[in-house]
Amino acid sequence: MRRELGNMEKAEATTNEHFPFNAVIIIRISSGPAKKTLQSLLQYLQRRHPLLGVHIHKEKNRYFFVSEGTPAIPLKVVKRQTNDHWQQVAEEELNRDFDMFTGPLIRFTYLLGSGSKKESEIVISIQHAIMDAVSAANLIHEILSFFRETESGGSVEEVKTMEPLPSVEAFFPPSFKGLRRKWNTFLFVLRQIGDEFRYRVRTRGQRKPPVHPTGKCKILPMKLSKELTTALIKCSRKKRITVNNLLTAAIIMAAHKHLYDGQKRPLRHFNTADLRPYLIPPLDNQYFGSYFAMMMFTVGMKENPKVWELAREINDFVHASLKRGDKFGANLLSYQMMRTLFRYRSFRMANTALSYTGSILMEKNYGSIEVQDIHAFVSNFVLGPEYTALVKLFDNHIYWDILYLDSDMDHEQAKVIADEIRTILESAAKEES
Amino acid sequence: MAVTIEEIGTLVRLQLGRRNVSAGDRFMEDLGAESADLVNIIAAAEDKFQVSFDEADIPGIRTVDDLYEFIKNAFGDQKPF
Repeated sequence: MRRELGNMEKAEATTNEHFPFNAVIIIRISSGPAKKTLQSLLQYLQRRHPLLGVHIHKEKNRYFFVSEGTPAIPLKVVKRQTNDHWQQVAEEELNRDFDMFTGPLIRFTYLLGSGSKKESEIVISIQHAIMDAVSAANLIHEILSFFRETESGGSVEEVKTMEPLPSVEAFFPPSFKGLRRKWNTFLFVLRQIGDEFRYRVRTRGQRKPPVHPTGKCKILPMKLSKELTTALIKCSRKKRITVNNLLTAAIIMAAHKHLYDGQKRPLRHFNTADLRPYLIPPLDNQYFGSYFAMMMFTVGMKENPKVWELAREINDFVHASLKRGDKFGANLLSYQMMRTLFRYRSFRMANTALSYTGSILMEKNYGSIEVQDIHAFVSNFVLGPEYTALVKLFDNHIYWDILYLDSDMDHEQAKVIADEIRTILESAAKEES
Repeated sequence: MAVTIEEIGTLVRLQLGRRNVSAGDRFMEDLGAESADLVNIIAAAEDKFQVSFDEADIPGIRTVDDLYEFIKNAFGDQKPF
């Protein structure tokens, strides 16, 4: 395999030349499999998914995924020390870059427990260029299904290799092909310039996210109760607002209160949009890759904002933007945006970011293996947003996997913001009921 | 009371503002629905047919026909009328 990277892939891969940009997934299980099973799994995955067996080759300013000469997926087995050991490993992995030009762009750490329940964690680190949130959810399901198959004596010898796909631009709809692509991208750029201009004028003399020379990723997982999760879903549906947009309102409000003193001002936020269903032809979730867009928008914050009002505003704005096709424009401009960011190193991408994957299709038990928790984080860096989270719904709980930089805040402050998010959501659920 | 595929089709058409909707149409892929549209469709179906959707069920409801089957089965389970 040798294929040129698309715009989003290039943005993610070249970020790695400055800072690590990894997705780190943690699968917490009981009755963890033997090391040998895990070794077979890695061979299986690399044979099945072309992007798990590539490195990057650079020719002038062009970047290519190349499979030839890429080593096997590395596996490190570590004796599990405590229940929270995985958090330390996850932070190390978020801060450790990949040797992109050697590959592969994925590595595994297995925290093998020895107690009666054999509680263990599989920590998977992946360079973002080869995987989005949809792929990650699929990867977890594939890994656990492999363990179940192996346990029941099923044969996984015959591996069907997935077809290597071109970059996402090849699947764009007619509105983002040829001349129409140029015109629609131009309109998107105009809207972005307008937004940038207004943002700069309105934040003159106000606090801006500081650009520190260095900063390490720190994590803070938070799990909402089953009762609160159910209430939030019910209320959101009643209000006809997506859960994603309600959670977005909560993270923005919490950051607004604790990082910006709750002043009247605009704040900038990033969320993600899955492109797969809107491609031509639509892309099946089984294909690993980076098929998403990072969507930026600005919210005018008032003093003492109301969570449902803000969620409604975000919901309507995001919906209109997605319908307009901004997700394709954002994908096309992602590399240019990152280049600008790294060239000047004088401003940060946003104040907050949130990626909500919704309900992940996963079972609680795979043979004798019981899934305890699933966590996922994406590296942030000193030019990225100040407070970020990956959020998902699993086993009737909303999991917040929050990430901050130690140059921006300490654990206490990150916790204060997380507690504020919880309080905002609790009040949103109460208000509506 | 039995639900018909035509009723589901009408509900989806109204929510998405589309003229034609077929049973096999996928909400996102064929009808261009965004997540906010899906919330509207699910909420409208809950109101109209007095059924309740679990959030975990929603990723499995990908087509107009899936929605029809879900509501039909829910009626079978709950016998609401």
